[in-house]
Amino acid sequence: MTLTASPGSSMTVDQAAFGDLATAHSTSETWFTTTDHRTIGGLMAGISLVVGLVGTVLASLVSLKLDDAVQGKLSESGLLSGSADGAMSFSRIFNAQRHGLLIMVAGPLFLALATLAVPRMIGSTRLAFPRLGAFTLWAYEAAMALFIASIVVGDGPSTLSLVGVNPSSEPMNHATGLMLGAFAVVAVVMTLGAINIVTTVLTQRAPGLRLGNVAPYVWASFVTAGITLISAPVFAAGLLITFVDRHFNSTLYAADGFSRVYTHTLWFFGRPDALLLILPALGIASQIVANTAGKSLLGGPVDKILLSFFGVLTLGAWAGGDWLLTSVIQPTPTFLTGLIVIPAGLLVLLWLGTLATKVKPTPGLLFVVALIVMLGLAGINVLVAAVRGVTDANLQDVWRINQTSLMLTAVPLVLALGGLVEFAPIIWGRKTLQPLVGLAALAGLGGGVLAALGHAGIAYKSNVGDSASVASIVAFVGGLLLAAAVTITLLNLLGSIVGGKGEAVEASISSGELTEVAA
Amino acid sequence: MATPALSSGASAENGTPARSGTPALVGTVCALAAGAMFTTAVTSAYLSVRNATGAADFVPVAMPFNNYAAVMIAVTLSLASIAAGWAVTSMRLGNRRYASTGFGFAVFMGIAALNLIWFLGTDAKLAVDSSAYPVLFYAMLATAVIMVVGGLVSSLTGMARVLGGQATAKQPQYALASAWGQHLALASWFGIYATAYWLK
Repeated sequence: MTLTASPGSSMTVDQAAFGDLATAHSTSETWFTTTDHRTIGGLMAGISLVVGLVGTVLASLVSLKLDDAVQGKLSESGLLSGSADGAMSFSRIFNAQRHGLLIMVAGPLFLALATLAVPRMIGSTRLAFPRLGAFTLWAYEAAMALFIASIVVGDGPSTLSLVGVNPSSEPMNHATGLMLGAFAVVAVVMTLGAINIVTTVLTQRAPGLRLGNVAPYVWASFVTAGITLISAPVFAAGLLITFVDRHFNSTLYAADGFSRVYTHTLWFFGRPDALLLILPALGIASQIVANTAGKSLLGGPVDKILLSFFGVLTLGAWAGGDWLLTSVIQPTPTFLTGLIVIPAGLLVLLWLGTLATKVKPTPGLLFVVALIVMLGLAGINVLVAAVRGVTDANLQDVWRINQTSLMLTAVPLVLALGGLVEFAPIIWGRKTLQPLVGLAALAGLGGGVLAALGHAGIAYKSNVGDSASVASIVAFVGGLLLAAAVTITLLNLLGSIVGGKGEAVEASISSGELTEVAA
Repeated sequence: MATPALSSGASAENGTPARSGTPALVGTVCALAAGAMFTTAVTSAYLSVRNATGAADFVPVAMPFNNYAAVMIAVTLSLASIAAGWAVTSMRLGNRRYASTGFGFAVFMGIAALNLIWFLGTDAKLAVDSSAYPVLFYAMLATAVIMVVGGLVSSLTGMARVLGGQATAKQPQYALASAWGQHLALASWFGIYATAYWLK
């Protein structure tokens, strides 16, 4: 059954005119005071993607810097100077791109996409708490300003790394304080955003739409938000403890037992958030498959059970000891976290089974292919590591870097791009330009794979003492391809939605899959 | 331009689907879960470091356990919680004046509790660079401040909702959600008090 909004009957439907974003937000006042979930989500996604774009470019430059041969040329040119006296030091940029991509971009990007798409997919035109949604947007922008300030102020926050395995106990400088503040605000944003998404799904569904019948992406967002509700406050608690410690120049980081606290409150790979980045990607892929097939996924509610199972397993990250810090196979270092391969693998089989019937392929399916290839490579990576053993010090970084690059950077980023273009018809009432969709998917796939292989190659060559020129160039190209995928998608969305070049369609979610009718 | 379809289910009235629940209560339950996780994380960090250090060596000898002030905080927050509960009951009975007075009393008690927590922190006079204990102790006090401020804001919101006529006898959800915020502040303090003063 399909529900259609009646013209002229609702302020939210008519004022925000589907597919005509430029008209809906003709004044700057509308932009700044809006509580429309599409404007909020769109701005948040735009900021995340632009910062993600900068992050991937920085990652490319960092990969060049990691090679000794190129390092000299870059230093001569003044770019990525190794000194800290006013110029951007290498460690500062390295830290910035790692924290930027993992903490400031990947999580908020999920929130932005959920804010954009979830209300429309459950038959609502608003979030449960629209003003709270607006607050999360502006708080996120404040966090981003603090984060950027932390990079450029003084010597930068090189003494603080929540991604590195060696927590530092150096006293807090201004930049570190700013970075802690930025992360704290992001933790608050994620918590409030998760409250909004969970409440929206539970209370704003169209009459007759049961929770078990929502679209796969809505379910994935619901589970992700539910677990974020549990995990983001723990991160905030860790930041509070760190702030007190740094503020008073204390020795907490060197205290007995604190490494376990650090591992599970602050360290990115010791929290459920690391694996939680993949869950929305699985939801997006499930939705793309259902949309392409024009029917629900095989197995009835099995897809939702698998998505929920995946979400619960992410909590296994908290079950390990402080030895997680030095474990090799990240982000699935324990048996419990490794079990995520079961729901992920079964979901892939569900997708293949659903697509086994006669299906007209769409460019959007390339994003699903990209996800399967990247997850497959990650699986092969683990298998090879298991066969070769992970005791070889020269190879340990290779497994770790390959895995984290694929699963925690490429997968969330590329599939978020897929979600934006796939859900455009139901969010804005216009399709995006399909050739560009395919191009972005291919660039994302190529970029993700090359960046992971390149960085792994650099790690190996560095450990055995060889020059890593080829690996550096591969990683550099991979980073640029990822940046190209983001750029193409942004331009595609701007041209199709704001520029009005995309085909206007009536879109609806019916029985879990998106159906479109040319308007 | 064609108006797009929205979603599956029965037809919506006026384009906006009817609500199938109470957002204020559901949102508050989610916020309570997040607040409980925040407090639990800080107290768990305390217990983790304490167990690794050894309970006997963990607490500095100079630590003055001001049990009187700590208990008074619990009493003050209990009064705030009771006042918020009174406000909800009054709202259910349709007595707006009592309801707003109840939330006002809860706000007053919340401010008093903040004052007491501040006193407890300054009274401790711990040298923070001596061991891990002072950092975790002050982090727990900071957590208490955050939760009490949350309860205070919640009560203020409840009072505004009552005075603004958004919370009524037929729709007391806003008042109930505000009271839950106050109860969470009390529960958080009990958790912190039990960790820092009973378990030590």
